[in-house]
Amino acid sequence: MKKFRWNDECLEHTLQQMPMIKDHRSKEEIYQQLIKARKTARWKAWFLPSLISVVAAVSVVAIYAPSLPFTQRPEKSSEKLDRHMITLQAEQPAKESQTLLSAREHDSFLSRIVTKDALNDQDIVVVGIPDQQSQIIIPISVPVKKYEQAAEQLKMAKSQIDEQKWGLSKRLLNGVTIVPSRESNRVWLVRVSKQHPVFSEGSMGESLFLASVEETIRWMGGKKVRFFTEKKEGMAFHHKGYIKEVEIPNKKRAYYLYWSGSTHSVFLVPSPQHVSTFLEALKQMKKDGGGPLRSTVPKGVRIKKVSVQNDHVVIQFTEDSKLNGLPSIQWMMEAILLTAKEFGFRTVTFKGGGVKQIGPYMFGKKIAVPVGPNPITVYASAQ
Amino acid sequence: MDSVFEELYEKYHDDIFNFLFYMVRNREQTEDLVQEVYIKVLRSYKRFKGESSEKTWLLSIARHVAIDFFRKQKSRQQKLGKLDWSEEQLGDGQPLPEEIAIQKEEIQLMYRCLERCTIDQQLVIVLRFIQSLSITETAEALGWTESKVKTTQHRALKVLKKYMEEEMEKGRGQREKVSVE
Repeated sequence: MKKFRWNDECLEHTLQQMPMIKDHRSKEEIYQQLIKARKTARWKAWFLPSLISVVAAVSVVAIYAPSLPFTQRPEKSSEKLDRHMITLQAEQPAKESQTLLSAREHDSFLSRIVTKDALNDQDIVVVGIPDQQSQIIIPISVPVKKYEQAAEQLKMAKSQIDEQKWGLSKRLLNGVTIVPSRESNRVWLVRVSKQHPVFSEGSMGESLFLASVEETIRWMGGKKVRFFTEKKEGMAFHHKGYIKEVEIPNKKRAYYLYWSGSTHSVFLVPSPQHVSTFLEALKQMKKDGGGPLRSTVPKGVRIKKVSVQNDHVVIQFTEDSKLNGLPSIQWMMEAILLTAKEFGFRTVTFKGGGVKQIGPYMFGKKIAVPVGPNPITVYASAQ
Repeated sequence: MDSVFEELYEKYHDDIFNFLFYMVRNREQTEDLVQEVYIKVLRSYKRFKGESSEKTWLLSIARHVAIDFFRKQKSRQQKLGKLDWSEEQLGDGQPLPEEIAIQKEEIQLMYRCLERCTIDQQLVIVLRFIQSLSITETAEALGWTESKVKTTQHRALKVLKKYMEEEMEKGRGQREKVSVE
């Protein structure tokens, strides 16, 4: 067969046919992000140094507290938490912290979501990790360096999660390589060694392994997973049999509160089951989910109306809804934001309830859906 | 909304986004860099003297932002030192963006070949043929002489020709292998 020869004309013609790549964001969205980026740059300049001082002050109080006269009380075991951590932490910040931290810092203590603004110059990777009781997969957002290869970011993220601190178990994800395939970022390759612990697990362990992989790859935008055992295609599970590849189901989920006990943090966790509509998801969030999943919409809060405008949704609470400043109300709003993201909404406006603001969220204003749930050490790494 | 932003957005947003995307080949990075361009532009808009066209001035800022990005990326790689590349990492480059993946084979190959060109060659090719700028406009946007643009363009087309022929040959080889099997 004759070899095809390219000349300048052919090349130029092909180059001229290259498609125009367009921005998917709206003008308003870009402008809002721009305003926030400018504010963040200014805020970063003064806030981070002062935050370091605050953390240092809190640390000094924590270290010397036993010898200070005003803190002579026995410390309960549940209070022995690492007060140096700035983000995802105990349910309430310590009392010393409350007096020292500004409202904004207090909000970030409570927050169980990552917003695009909070990222500063970082990316996040969401890793689905089983809890220590092996009941449920918890998606955890870990800040990672921007512009790294996705596989490298995932590796870093996994290594940064302190399983003891957060009540998680990384055992099944250790030694697992997760990389995008060459042909498409929709297809991901998962590789394990022959000695991987999942091969000696019961059926529950196998399910948790698959669910961890599914959750992690879902957040990376993957649609399909191909398994490999070292160089060989597929994984031979004892109970589930031989699995070569799985599709990531296109399910939409409702978010619940996960709380395994007083020593560990509260997380926002998606329902394992698919929910057909956003309205149905909001209804389900009023009731407890299965196992350790608690309702996110507390009693006393009633949603009067939900209106959808393209990728924007307005949630109107009744005027008599009890929207107080308790953490559970902020977590409810964050659970609604995460659920809205599941259903493809990009912004949410909260209205009614007789309030103007809950935590960092203004009522009556568009709020962008989060980039991920359950952040750890975002600010600490940003320093 | 800032009227300067609004005007610049309406007139040039698509061009800036497209240019940066072809340079960095990642949507999220492009979004971040476009934001950086706007921050720089809004900061210095009052100092714009109108010596070049608004479009080439904006593209020259976008070019600086892109070069700066590559520089940071390079220094990060140097800091990390020699990486122990696994088999998967070597084999798995960036997947094709959707807009390219749906195009015919030549376009996909061209997209891959363009990546193998030097940064300067990519700048010229993108501005000249994908953004349809004239030699003079390209020289203005890059801050080069027209003759440097012409020389770089000539060399870029020469290497692209070589890469395209190599890729077509590879593809033909694979197709023949499949049909024999």
